[in-house]
Amino acid sequence: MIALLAALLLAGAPEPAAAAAGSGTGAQKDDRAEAERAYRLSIEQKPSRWLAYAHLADLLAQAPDRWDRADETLALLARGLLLAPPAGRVNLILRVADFERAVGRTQQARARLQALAELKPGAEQSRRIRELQDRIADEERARAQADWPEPEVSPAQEAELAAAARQLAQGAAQKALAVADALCAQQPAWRAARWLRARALDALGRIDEEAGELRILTQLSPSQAQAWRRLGEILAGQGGLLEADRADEALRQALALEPSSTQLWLLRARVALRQGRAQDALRALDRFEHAGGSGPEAARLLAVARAQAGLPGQSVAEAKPPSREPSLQARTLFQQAGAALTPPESAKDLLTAALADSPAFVEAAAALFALTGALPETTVQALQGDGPGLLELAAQVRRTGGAAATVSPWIDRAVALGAPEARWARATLREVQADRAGALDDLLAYAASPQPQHLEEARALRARLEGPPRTEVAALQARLRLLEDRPEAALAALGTRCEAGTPAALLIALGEVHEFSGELPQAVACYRLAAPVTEALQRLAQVAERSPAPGAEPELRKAAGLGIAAARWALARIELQRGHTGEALLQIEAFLAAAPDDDPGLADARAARDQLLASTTAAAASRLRLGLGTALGAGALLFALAALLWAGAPLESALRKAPRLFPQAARAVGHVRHDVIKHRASVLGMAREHRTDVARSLLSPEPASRAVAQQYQALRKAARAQGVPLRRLGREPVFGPLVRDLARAEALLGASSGGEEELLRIDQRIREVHSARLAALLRLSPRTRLDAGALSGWIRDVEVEMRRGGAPWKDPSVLLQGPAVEFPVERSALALIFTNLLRNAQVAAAGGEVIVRLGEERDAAGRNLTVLLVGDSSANTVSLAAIEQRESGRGLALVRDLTREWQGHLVIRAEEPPWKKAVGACFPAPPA
Amino acid sequence: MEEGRGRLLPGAARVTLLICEDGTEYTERFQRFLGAEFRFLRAAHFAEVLAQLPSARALLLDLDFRRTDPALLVDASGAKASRETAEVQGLLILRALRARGIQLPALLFADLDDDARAARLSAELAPLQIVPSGEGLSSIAQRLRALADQQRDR
Repeated sequence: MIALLAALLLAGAPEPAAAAAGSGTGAQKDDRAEAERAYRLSIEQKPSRWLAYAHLADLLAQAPDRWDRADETLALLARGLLLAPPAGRVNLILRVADFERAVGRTQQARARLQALAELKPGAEQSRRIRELQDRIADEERARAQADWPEPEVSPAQEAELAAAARQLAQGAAQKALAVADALCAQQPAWRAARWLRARALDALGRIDEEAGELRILTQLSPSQAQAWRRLGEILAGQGGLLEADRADEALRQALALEPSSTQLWLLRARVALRQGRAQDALRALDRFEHAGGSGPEAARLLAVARAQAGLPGQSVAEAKPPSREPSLQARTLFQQAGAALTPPESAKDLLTAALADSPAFVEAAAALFALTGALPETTVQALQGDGPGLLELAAQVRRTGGAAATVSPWIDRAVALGAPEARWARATLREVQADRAGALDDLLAYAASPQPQHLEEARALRARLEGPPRTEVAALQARLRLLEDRPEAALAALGTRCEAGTPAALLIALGEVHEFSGELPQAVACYRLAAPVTEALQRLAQVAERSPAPGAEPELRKAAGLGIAAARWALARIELQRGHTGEALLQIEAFLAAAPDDDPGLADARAARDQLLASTTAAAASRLRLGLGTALGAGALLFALAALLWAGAPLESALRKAPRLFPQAARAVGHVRHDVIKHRASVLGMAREHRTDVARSLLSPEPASRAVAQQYQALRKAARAQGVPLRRLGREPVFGPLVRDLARAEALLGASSGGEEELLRIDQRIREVHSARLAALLRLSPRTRLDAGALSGWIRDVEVEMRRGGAPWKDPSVLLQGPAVEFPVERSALALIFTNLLRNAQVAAAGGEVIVRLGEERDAAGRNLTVLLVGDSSANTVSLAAIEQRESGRGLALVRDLTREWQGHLVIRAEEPPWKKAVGACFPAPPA
Repeated sequence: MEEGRGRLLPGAARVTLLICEDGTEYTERFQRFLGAEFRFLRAAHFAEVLAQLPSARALLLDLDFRRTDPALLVDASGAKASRETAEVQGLLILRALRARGIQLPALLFADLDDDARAARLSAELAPLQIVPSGEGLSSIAQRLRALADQQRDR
């Protein structure tokens, strides 16, 4: 009825008033069908009335089925354009173009808007044209984020992949990789195969290759959060400064797709600090905190970020492919042929002569083709093995008017040779030849190639070939805004609020934006509204495990029922808040049993479980004795204890996984060996003669077993902060048995007599077994081999950074003792030490001489040291005492702290002219 | 500097051993368990070692002197050294003594975790025995008794 009234008003009212009525009735009441009928009725009554067409276009641009009705709607609007008076035509064209945008026909919309210039639009109309053009450009950019289509995969290939995935899960990474290699060769654009290959490479420690694989995967599937995440982790952890931009990009993509991956904010902060972007680091740390994160690593980064001043960024300098050089004579002939006074016949002879001398001279060949329409066979033969050469020849011949059919075999040959851009060239050629399917095949293969140079153009070509997309672009636009770190703009792009009746996909997208902003209650509200959808439940659980949401308990229970592990920890936190420790423990155990290794709640859940068990085990046992516990409770407790025993990694394994843990581990081991074994437990063998003194030595000021346990617990905490949970003390194979032996000795010594034999056996085990195990842990220090290649990469990083900042730069002399020097320091720490030393020397030298020395030497204490020195020619002196006074966080103070952390020390030495002094770091070689 | 409170064994004079450490752990432990057999003196840095050396028949050295005032640290020649030398100060003190021609037998308590280095040092700074942290006090006592016997025989 209201729509009918609108139509009647429209028919009789002057146009501006009718416009207001039309846009404010049917659409607002969400009574689309009725409004559409009203507009169509209005058009029937007066076909020349442009405003009715305009409102209909507006209305249908929002319709969920607009893609299905696009042709019919555009035909109707075209009739309106023909009949519209000149005064209304510009406005109607704008509406039609907007409708075309809404149905994904952006090229047509763009062309229509460009043509509008001829109609001399007014200022307001020009503004609206620009706005619409911007909107179209933005949508096209957003659609570029869409995934490439999956290739068709045979059931046999699917089965092979599944089998390889099982092999990988069982630890046979090499076999899984072989299968993944074969499958990727057969189906280069198959994401699942590429993901398996990346995981297998990861398991084998082939990180560089893994990063390459992940780059391809993210090209094919920009929506794959896991791939972005892992790529970001690799680039942030292993890449130098040159990779920092890519690392940040990958991490931003991962966070925009999975805001629950809150640990990535820390990585972003680290990358920003590496680039000298202290403010960005602070912002990332703020986001981490708002997302519910905290911990010692965040505090450390915060301190560094606060201390650090900003440095400009940098970008990668692209390497150019080698050029194809003809002989000097051929080049001279070519120049003569191109001279203004040379007649065409002579030019032809000169070019033929040039090609006879240098058959692979592409420019000469293309020029000859332009004159004669043919090429010498020798040229084609000479380029048979040169993919890039054939592509260049094809491009030049096409520019001179050569037919597609002429160049097609050359490009096919370049594809067969695997030339990097050949697929792109063939796709463009096939488009010209109207071979749509072939062009799409080539584009897909191109997107799966290692470093495609025309990926954006390839996306645009794909869009042209595939026809207009039939999907909402708002979610993609929101993702784009999140990539730009503009959550408020992302909300605007989604254009609505979380309220009942909003489509679930939109609610989830809104929730993601709120989650990204750290507005967790709003995120919870959005996900709850979308709750029947599994993805919403998954995301709800991920938020609620960081920020307890009692109101969402029904949805969380539903999520738990669907096997979503995070929901268990979220429910446990709610139960803990209520003081229901028994229920909380059950949920925690269920969570720990099912949660993936990278779940951010794992560390807290384990800590909560330990605390609960410590306080409730005795009570639970008592209840069980009294028969009050139910069979379920007993089962759960047994399950909890079983899980408790085996969670986490042994220290040895943790050190292999997280080399950064080594300094803390070495300190803990050193403390146990020195303070406990040497000064306290070494007297055990004298218990027979000095029982009271031995007891005092072991039990006072606190039991030695407790001192060791405290060291281990501190280490466990540090490991947890680094995302590597350690096994419980009782199950840890080095510290656990030592603590048990010490505790047993303490118990024996607590009695007034007896147990001497057992004490002797314990003494023997401490000397022969435990001491050896502790010493073995120290042999696990990371070892970073530095050769000339690695060193030059780091030097380049510093050079790029300094040149960008306008600082003077002098290529350093490099003296490397032997082919490589091995440092007992984790790679990224060593890189930081080196780059800061070099930067400091370059600044001091101010364009003067700089030298880098790497070598090994023996000190007066007989230690083999690996030494890294950077010298400069500045007469200004620096002293260890002055460096000692500097505030931590950057420059030589950072070198000082990192060097100490890795058990080395700073040195300052005099240098022979032209250098004056060198500052460096020495590290004792680890035990062999 | 301090003197241990051990009692003399009947019929045998106690051999005096000089412990050089930055704390008191060794001195207290040896005094408590071996004070009846030996007399222990303690020195906290190189200058004190030099001062007490005339009364000692052997040296017991800790390796790490991180608790010592950095101004008292020495290098292998006995000259003042940087704080970075604290972690191997025991060895540097011994080197400085050997450089002065002092050939007193020495025990160095250190976890070198490197057999080759230990052998090299033992040869360079002889007479020297290197005692790892895992070695029990009974075994150390045997080493000391052997040392004492050698000294008595001289």
